Amino acid sequence: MKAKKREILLLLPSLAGFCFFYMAPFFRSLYYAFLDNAFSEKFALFGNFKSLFASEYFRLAIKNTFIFTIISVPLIMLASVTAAFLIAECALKIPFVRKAFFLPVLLPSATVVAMMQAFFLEVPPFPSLLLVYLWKYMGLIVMLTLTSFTSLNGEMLEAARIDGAGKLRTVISVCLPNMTPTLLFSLILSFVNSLKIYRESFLLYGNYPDESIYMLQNYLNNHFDKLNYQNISAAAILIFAAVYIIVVILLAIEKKAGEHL
Amino acid sequence: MKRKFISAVISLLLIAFVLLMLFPIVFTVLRSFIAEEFTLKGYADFFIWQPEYIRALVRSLIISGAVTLLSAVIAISAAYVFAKVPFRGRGIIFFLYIIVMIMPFQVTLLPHYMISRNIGSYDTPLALILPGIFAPFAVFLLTQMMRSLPNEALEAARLETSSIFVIMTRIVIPAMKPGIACAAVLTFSEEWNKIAEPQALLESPMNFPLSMLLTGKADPAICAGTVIFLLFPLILFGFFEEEISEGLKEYKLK
Repeated sequence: MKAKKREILLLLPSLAGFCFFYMAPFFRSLYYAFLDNAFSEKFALFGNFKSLFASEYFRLAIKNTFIFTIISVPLIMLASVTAAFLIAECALKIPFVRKAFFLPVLLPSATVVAMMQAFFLEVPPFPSLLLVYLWKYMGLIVMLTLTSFTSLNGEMLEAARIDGAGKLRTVISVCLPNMTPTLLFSLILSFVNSLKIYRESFLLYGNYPDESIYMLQNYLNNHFDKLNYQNISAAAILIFAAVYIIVVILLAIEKKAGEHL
Repeated sequence: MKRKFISAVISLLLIAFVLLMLFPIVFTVLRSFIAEEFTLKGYADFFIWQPEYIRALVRSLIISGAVTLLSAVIAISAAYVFAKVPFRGRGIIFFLYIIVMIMPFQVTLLPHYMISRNIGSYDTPLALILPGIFAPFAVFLLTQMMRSLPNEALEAARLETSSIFVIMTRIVIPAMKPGIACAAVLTFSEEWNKIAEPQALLESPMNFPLSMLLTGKADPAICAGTVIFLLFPLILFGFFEEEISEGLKEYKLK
């Protein structure tokens, strides 16, 4: 028992760095968010949040980020799961398939962007970002769902077949429910990655892109350049709250699914 | 007959997909050798005539290498505790790790900038390395994988030795090889690719990593540089490929 207690110490390096570089700054942001301005040390309560929502660009950024996430994440999940099942079903084993899917994850954004500029210049900004996102991050999700699918219990699938379930039926009512943990994990990763699309967006369109893809990251970046502390901090708090709610919901779903199985 | 036909269609579809996935790589490589005709000018520029590229490459290697190695060590020990050593408050801390992992970098941009100013790492490689080491992603990934490590093996090891170091190096790390390889490759390519962070935390171009130098207009040196740039994650991936496909097996959130 004593040994176990000592083992907790292993967490310390990570936790110390995590607190110093990620959590402490967050509390600092919390402080700034409610401060009137950086010099007066006077509290403004919700003044910063009010002026945030009064800003047309902030509202636009929230709207665009929301739209992009709500379209891109389900799309990548659907596409990846379909691709994974196709690969698993494919009778001819094509040796390079898995590798090819994983490669884009590793590629530098600059490569992707160069290709987009060479071939998809005509495509409007929003769909081209969606394309880049799918292209870059689908591989990881395909790998995840594929390995989860192939490690499913064979007897269970056989039983479903004997019960007369068709292919699609088996996938929907047997495979997918049993893959819930992997699917949720993939969902979180896809969500993380959808917020990373700023990198490509910046490379393709710079800091002041088309209105359809002006996202929260652009907003924050531009206000960072202006050193507008209160504004950024207030926005950061709102984003934290939003992510918090989403994670709580996902965890609740996982717990529920866990009880079910 | 019908089955065969469907199988063939799926195969064709997949092959098309593979080509689509490989297309940008082929495009980048071709572009670096061909302007109007075959040329090595880009590579000559990159390696010989414009030494800032090589310097940036070395800087990138140092930054990404340091982050990958150090974060692996720290994340393995943290993941071990999250997965195998229960204590009060563990769930909440792990939950915070997940939230921070999801938030876009821009949220912590300003704090990171202020910290780097405070501790004097602004405009040095350390400004990128330090936060990178403690990024929660590797911890999260490794915790997921560590959970599948059988408890019996650990208990048996604990009976034999009380040294954490021995348990880690003899039992945990060998069993976690696939997961560690997976986390390392992903961390490396993530770090290798960073653009927003160097932009905010570095000032002088002589401190920029290679990723920053490749964002400009595609002149020959940049085209060649992109090929060199993408070689490194690919080599790493090729090296650990088996472990990676092994490592992606089972995941749970909590």
